[in-house]
Amino acid sequence: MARVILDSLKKTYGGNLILNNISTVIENGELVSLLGPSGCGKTTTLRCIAGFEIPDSGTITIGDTDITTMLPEQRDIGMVFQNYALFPHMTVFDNVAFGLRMRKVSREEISQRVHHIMKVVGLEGYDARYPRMLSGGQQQRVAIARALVIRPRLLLLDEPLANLDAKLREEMRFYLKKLQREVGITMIYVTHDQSEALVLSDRIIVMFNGRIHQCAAPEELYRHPATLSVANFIGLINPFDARFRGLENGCALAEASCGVLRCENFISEQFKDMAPGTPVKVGIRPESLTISSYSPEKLPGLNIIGGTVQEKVYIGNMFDYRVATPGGEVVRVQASPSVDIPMGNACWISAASVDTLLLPLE
Amino acid sequence: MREQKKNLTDRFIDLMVFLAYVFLLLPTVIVVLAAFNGGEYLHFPPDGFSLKWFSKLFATEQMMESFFFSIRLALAASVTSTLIGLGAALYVVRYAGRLASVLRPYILSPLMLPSILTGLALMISFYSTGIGGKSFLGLYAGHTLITTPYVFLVVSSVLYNFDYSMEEAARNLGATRLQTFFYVTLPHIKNGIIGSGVFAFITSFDQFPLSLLLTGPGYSTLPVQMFDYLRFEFDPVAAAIATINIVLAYGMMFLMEHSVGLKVLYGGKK
Repeated sequence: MARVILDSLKKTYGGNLILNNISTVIENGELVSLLGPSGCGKTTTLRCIAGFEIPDSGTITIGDTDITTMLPEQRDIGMVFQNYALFPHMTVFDNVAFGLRMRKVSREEISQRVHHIMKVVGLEGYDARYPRMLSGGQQQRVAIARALVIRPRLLLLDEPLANLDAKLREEMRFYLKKLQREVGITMIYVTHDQSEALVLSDRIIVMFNGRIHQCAAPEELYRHPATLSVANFIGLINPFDARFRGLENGCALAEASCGVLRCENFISEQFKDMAPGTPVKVGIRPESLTISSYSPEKLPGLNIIGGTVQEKVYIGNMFDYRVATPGGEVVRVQASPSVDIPMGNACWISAASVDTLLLPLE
Repeated sequence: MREQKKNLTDRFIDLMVFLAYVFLLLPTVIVVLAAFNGGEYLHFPPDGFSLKWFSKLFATEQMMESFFFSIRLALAASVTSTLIGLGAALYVVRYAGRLASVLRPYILSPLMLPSILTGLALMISFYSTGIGGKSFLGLYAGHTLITTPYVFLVVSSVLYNFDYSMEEAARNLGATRLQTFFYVTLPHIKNGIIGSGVFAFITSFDQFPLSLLLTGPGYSTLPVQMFDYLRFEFDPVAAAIATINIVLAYGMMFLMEHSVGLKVLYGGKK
């Protein structure tokens, strides 16, 4: 096992750039998710690593080996497919043993290793069954066992939970996490489900339109998103059009239609050389906003916006407000039900500057 | 279980289905009955029951010769067309890309052209190339040509329904292309191959117009022999051989349905 390095991968399909300069490093033993909407290039990246696609340019290395153009069967990488891709004409045992047979492992060792891995995935005694006789979750575990039994350098998972029902999906998330800790294998996990990525991953690589927007730990990603797309994909965000004013003691000023907003949540490299007047986005998450019917005290670290309650929905633990600002923006606010402002009333919403994101235009 | 009461439309549809079956099966039934006719001529209804036409058939040497010749020819042609059709289907579905739309009608053309035309074309080309129009080789080539499209169609549809991620899984687990084909792909398309091979056999065995132009002395297929026979003798020997033919065809269909499932012929799974 060793680190995986993707270096400037590019891939085009019929004139469309599917992968646009994908570079990243995945450390030994890490579980990294490739997260993004469908068509963002996450599956293509995975297929390049597995050897089912060859990038037009760029290199993929595992440890010291350049595997970019190696045949899939020589890569020693395990893969779990979205539909499991079990061989329906083979028993569970033969499915799991397939990779070992291809490696000409002795009969006794095959039997021993298959039975060991079946125990690990909790499928002892299922040897003689056929895949069609198993439930979705069990098939999933056969697919994982089949990939792990060859002791691959790396395990790739392509939306492995997408075909399971919601309850089972939740269970499998924790199961996969536990399995990864036990086996200690490097995993690359493709998903479009943010909560899945948040629960499972050591780090998440967020992709849009063939580009990596951000690569960070789950918490970091939520707290300090690098782009508006990331902020929007992981959680909710209210975007405001604004112009960059400048930096002032670690605080960035941006002029929006509702006034000058103070932002303390931003990635400084993105703005350190930015000229004043450059269009930017300011983002505030609905749960960071406070709503009240009177103007809060003007504090230095507070952004205050006036507006009218346009819509209000009660969702149990909170009110979900939509507030219209004089500038024509509609801001979503999620506030505790203790504050109840009727529809049509004037209100003030506020957010601390540490919760106010400054984001570059994409 | 109780059934819902049938209305007039349902009854009408039932009647139509029944009539369709009668229409399809009646000629077959008549031929079979005629084969057991006790009278001297081929006609219906039969005058009494007798097996004498079968014994006369078995004693008619040229009839029996043609029967076994047809079986040999159909075997050779169906095995060859199965191999060619399989290869063509694999290429067109997997690798041909844009070329597929050019190749597909080309491979299927023997199915579209009247076989008498195909036969004529083959006869002329065999004469002009010196192979000669009246040889086993000519018949073999002709029958292979017209049975290949069936195999191609069936195997293509099976391949289009095939889940490629299974092959990728095999490659990922260390199987080479060839190992993947034999361990994963072939077991999946096997039924389609067998089914279409049997279909090719029956098609060759029943083939008349093409054979008519390409048969010569000593190389007469059964349908052509029957045609010749009926021109000179109008007795129920022809009905007797037809009965054997029918039993053979239905027997093969029955075996196929219960082994690989006839659905494979239109791309369904067993």
